[in-house]
Amino acid sequence: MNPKKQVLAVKDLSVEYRQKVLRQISFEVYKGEILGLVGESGSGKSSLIRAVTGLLNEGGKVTEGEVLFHGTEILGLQKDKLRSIRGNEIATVFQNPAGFLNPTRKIRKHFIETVRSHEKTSKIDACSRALSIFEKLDLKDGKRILDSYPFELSGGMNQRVAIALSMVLEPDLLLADEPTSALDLTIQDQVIDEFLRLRDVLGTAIVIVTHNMGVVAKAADRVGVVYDGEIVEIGDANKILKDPLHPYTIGLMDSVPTYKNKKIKSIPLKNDDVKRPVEGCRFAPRCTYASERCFKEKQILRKNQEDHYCRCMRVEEINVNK
Amino acid sequence: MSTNEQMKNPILTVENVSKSFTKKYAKIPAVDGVNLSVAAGEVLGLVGESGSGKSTLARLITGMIKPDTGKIIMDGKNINDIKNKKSKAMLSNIQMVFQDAYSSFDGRMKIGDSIGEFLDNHYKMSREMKREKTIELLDKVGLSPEHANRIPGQLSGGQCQRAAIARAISTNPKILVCDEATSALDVSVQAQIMELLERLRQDLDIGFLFISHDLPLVNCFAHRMAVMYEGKILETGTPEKIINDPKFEYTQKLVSAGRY
Ligand SMILES: Nc1ncnc2c1ncn2[C@@H]1O[C@H](COP(=O)(O)OP(=O)(O)OP(=O)(O)O)[C@@H](O)[C@H]1O
Ligand SMILES: Nc1ncnc2c1ncn2[C@@H]1O[C@H](COP(=O)(O)OP(=O)(O)OP(=O)(O)O)[C@@H](O)[C@H]1O
Ligand code: SF4
Ligand SMILES: [Mg+2]
Ligand SMILES: [Mg+2]
Repeated sequence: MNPKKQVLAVKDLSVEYRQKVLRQISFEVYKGEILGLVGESGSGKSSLIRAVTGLLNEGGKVTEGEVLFHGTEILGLQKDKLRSIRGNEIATVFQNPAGFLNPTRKIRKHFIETVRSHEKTSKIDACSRALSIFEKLDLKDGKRILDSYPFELSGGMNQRVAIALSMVLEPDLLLADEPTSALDLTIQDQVIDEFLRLRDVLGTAIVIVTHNMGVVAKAADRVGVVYDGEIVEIGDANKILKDPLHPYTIGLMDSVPTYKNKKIKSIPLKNDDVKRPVEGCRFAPRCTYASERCFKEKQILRKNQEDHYCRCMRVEEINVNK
Repeated sequence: MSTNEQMKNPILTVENVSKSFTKKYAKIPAVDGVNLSVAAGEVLGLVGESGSGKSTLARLITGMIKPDTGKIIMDGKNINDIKNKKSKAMLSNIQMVFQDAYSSFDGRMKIGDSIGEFLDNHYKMSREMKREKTIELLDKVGLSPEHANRIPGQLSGGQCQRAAIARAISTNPKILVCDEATSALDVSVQAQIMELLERLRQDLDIGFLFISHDLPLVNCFAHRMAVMYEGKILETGTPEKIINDPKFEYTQKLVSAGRY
């Protein structure tokens, strides 16, 4: 078998607005692999997706690190070069599809523009490609959808339109930020199947940011857990879902509602953006296992077992007593 | 939450309401003859297929759009009667958290000013009181005073959604319509918001129409639930009953997709 082919590598990436939001993030995604990213609201997941494609919101900047796409650094590329990679080879589904779609343009126009800015083809062809993806995403009434403005569609319809737009050029890398948050569970399954199909047939490398552990369980090969701008746990999806190691991940799993678990617990809250100890573990102010040393010593991502890494110095003690 | 609490008279009643949109060659019956009711302190969960008319129903209930036929009765009054429409009390009694939090705010306005303006529409307050109240509301949803100074585009998805919840609870409404109100939150913050909503329900006797595609979550919070499909309510009952014994094929599919 061929060795795994690396598609995306993020190395020590840091991002700040007025405040620091990402701290030396590193991970890799290989051809045909799906990485799930979960984590706290406000921890920097969307900023990460935006930074990778050079589309940070106003006021945001990358302060260190690099992003390699097929081995080539892309953060320093000329704007037009980056634009041509974006959409064609790297596609993104943004978290807020209604805000990303142009409200004054019909859905048809979105597809025609996206396809024809990268390929010489007819408008009819662009639309028929859209229709065939709609069908796979269980988006009924495709002709009506193409003829609609975003405001004439429901939340879940717009979300699937955005997903279809990201798939239409068959990218090598697909970055999807909360792509199923507006979908009912039956359609969610179907959309995930389509991501899996893309991965299996075309070898697309996919990063899915999601709050939904069901999506992670069904789609992800590997998972990264983000807390306050850092990856606190990363590795094989099955291992992390079955046996989470980091106290934050453990707390997160206890908050997942299921038919049986009706008493969902939150991790005791502190305000977002509150000043926290900069030196020690960033989770210490909320961690039930925190010791004095935790507040003082910088935590590093350490290997616990094969493809399972955790940023907690007490991980062995905690998980023995669990 | 117990399901056998004494149910009082409904505070909100939707009577045979329909609404359709026309699109060139086709009529879209978005909401088609819907009946439902919510009592004070009751949580009615609403689940259903994407595009089945849930958000349209929510917009009808909050008076943003008018039904083609049927009535929406709040506190004994038809909300679409001219004389009731002007009443401020009527408006502040029904609040809504929108599915798309970002566009429910003015994108150029700081979050604090948006909430302040909202308070102005409902109360007479001094500038300092408004500021204080805004910060207190933000704190309830786990945001800090600093977030009041940001425009929506400078907040994360979940932070913006929480700001929308803070705004909706600011007038102590009698009915709170939540349209996918926790869909952008991580499960821990979601649990915290659900604790807050449950506390408000108990303290202020707020009735909820809780729209969500997360069936297990609806099961945690709702006393009754309704399943919507192609503009119609398919079935209603306690979450337990529907999850254990779904009557329709769509509901069966939904229930089994929610198991993990
Ligand atoms: N334009 C901006 N200016 C200032 N701060 C910003 C801006 N955009 C985002 N932030 C802040 O950066 C942090 C990370 O935001 P980001 O949107 O990346 O979080 P997230 O992990 O995607 O959260 P969610 O799960 O809620 O969507 C947040 O604290 C947010 O308030
Ligand atoms: N302004 C409008 N013009 C034309 N059609 C509309 C308009 N608003 C909604 N619709 C249509 O009405 C139907 C119901 O939409 P609605 O937004 O109520 O669905 P929903 O149940 O909230 O779906 P979701 O779960 O995806 O948010 C859809 O087919 C939608 O395209
Ligand atoms: S390093 Fe200490 S404070 Fe941080 S997660 Fe581990 S035990 Fe908790
Ligand atoms: Mg986000
Ligand atoms: Mg909706």
